[in-house]
Amino acid sequence: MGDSDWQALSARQSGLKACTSCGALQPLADHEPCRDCGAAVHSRRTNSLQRVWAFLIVGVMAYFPANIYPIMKTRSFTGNTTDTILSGVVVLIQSGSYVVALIIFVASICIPVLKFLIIAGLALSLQHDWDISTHNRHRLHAVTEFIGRWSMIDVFVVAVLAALIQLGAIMTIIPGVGINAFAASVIFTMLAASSLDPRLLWDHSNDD
Amino acid sequence: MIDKKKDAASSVVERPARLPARLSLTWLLPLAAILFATWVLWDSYTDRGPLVEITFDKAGGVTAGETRVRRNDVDVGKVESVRLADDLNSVVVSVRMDPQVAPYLDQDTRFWIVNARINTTEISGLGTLLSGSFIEVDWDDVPGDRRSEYIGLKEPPLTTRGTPGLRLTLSADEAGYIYVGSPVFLRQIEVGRVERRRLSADASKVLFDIFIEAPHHKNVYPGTRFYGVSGVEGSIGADGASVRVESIAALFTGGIAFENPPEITRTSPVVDTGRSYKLFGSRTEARGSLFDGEDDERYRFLAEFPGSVKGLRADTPIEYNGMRVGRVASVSANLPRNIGGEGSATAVLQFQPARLGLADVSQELWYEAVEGLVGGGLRVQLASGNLLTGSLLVRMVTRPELSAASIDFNSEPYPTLPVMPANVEAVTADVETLVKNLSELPLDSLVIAATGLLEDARKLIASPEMSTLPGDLSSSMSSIAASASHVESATADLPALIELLTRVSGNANDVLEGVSPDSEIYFELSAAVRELGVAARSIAAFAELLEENPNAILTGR
Repeated sequence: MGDSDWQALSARQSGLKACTSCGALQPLADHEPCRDCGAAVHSRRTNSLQRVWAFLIVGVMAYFPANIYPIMKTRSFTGNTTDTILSGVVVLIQSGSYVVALIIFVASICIPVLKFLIIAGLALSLQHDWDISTHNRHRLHAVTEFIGRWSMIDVFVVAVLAALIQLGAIMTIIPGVGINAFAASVIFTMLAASSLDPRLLWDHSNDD
Repeated sequence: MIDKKKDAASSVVERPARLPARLSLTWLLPLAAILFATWVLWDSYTDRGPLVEITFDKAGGVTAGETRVRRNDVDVGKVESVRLADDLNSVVVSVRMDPQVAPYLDQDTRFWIVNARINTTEISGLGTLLSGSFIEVDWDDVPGDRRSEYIGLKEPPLTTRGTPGLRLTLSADEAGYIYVGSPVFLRQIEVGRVERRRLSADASKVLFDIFIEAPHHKNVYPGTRFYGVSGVEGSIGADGASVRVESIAALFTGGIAFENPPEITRTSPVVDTGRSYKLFGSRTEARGSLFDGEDDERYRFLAEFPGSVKGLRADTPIEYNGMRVGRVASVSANLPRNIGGEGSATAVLQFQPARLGLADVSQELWYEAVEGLVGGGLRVQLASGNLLTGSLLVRMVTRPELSAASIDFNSEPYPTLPVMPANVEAVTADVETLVKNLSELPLDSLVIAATGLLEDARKLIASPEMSTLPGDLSSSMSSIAASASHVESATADLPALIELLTRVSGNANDVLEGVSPDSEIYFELSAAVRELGVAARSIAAFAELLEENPNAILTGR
């Protein structure tokens, strides 16, 4: 907390806890549900970081088969082709569709990897009290929340193609194993991002 | 709210205690993921089937990582790599087979590439035009020793190993119009096909491997006769001409048919695969050879014929009571045993016991039967088959009055039958006498006389009188023509004459009408009138003829 001189006070520091549903405050020691909306109120989600790590590990694990196995099988009368994410990008580059190739590459390769790194970095910074400003932490957290959904673009592309292109012997597109793994990877990464209780970001930044 | 918030804020001053370090249940997820991944890895490793290498001449559309190996349209393997063989002349395809088919990858397994095939005898595999080629595999249902290297077939086999049926080998002298894939017919129903056509090891025969599908293979008996059907079989005989076509397909490709003589259906069908049969050239030939055992060495005997055996050759028939019971397999000459003696010839007699009513008889029984016959006076004898061609036949005759003889079982390679001196020689002697008499005819003097006659004729023709003859002939011809023209003018008067005659006969009729029908004159007159009518018609016909053909008066018609 260097650049601004106002001192933020977290609810927890004030001995309170806020309801995540309606925002109503109640004392930390109060174990009742929220008086206003009846939702369970926790000062911090329990085991938040453990869940982040658990989901992140699953997401990373799923990312390997997502890239190794084909995400799409194209069966046409000229033959069968199977495409992994990277081979699809290569094919697009070879055929001159650089912009599409870039979009796919960014959405399928860069963003997931970036998310893994950001979430892991945030979790590590919380566990090991790295000197990162709360503001930056929040910015990183916002970024993961924002870009996470874009990773699903590949899944949607394959889903739409597979649903539309079913022309029997002429051309059929079948989703491959890879796309399931990829979807799983994206989902678990999103779960990891959402498991990170943003309120934790406050706690550790105030240690200094 | 605000009060309470302030209270809470003021009431807490120190940092709250760390949250209890409980283990989150979420950790089960990565654990499950790890287990799943491990299972997938382990499964795909242990589930890896054997890798086999198949050598093909050409890759023919086989692609690494894509082409499947199929059996009955079910995938049982996948091509992992395609590379040139070390000799750079063939292609080695590495295939990862499914583990559950591993036990059947033994020496009976065959691989071949399925492509679209369009040629004169078949159109197949068109589906591969769209789907791409694949490798077909075939094995029997008996697990065997694992093999990992195979040579791929160039042509797809016509029947797979598991197909129920019967494989037979037919041998023929010539291949004829029978090709691989030609149909096999039973009563004009297609029941199988030719799988392989090859030469025998010594190239003396053409061998056909045929396959007869179940349940028709139950119609194959030891005595079944196979014959080629090459297009049309026609015959012209005393009962007219007949044409027989086994099938339209066979008209173009040829085929094989088989049939069973009525008597052999009493025997049991053939069950063992690979049995050999003779392939006859035609249905007639097959029927002519009514019984099998044509080349069965168990039924062979030797016969030593003294003296000349001119006219005795292989395939000479053996007759018993006028019925054909076998043939002479071969004839060889023997040198005289002592100097100045007469030479002899040894014939190998091939009997067909089935023709004697002993179907598929064992050698012992056969020898026993023949021994009995010989004891009863049976002998073999050369007889004249055809006086004109001088061909012989071997006849089995029974002469009970002859002294006892027996079969010589010590001779090699077959037992020897007792021989009766032939009356052939007498016949031959007669023929020889005839020829001698013919040759003694005074042919020479006849020829001399004829020559003289011819010479006289030549002299006559060459004489100067003969040269004037054509001129005389032409003058006489012209005088004949002149007389013909006279005749023509004469015929111009004929119509008048006819009219006159008709009128006369009309008058005669009038006269007759006045005469009583009972009188004699009436009868004679009526006869005369009838004759006049006939005469008038004849003259009319004559006149017509002359008008049409004036030369008729010369030529008479």
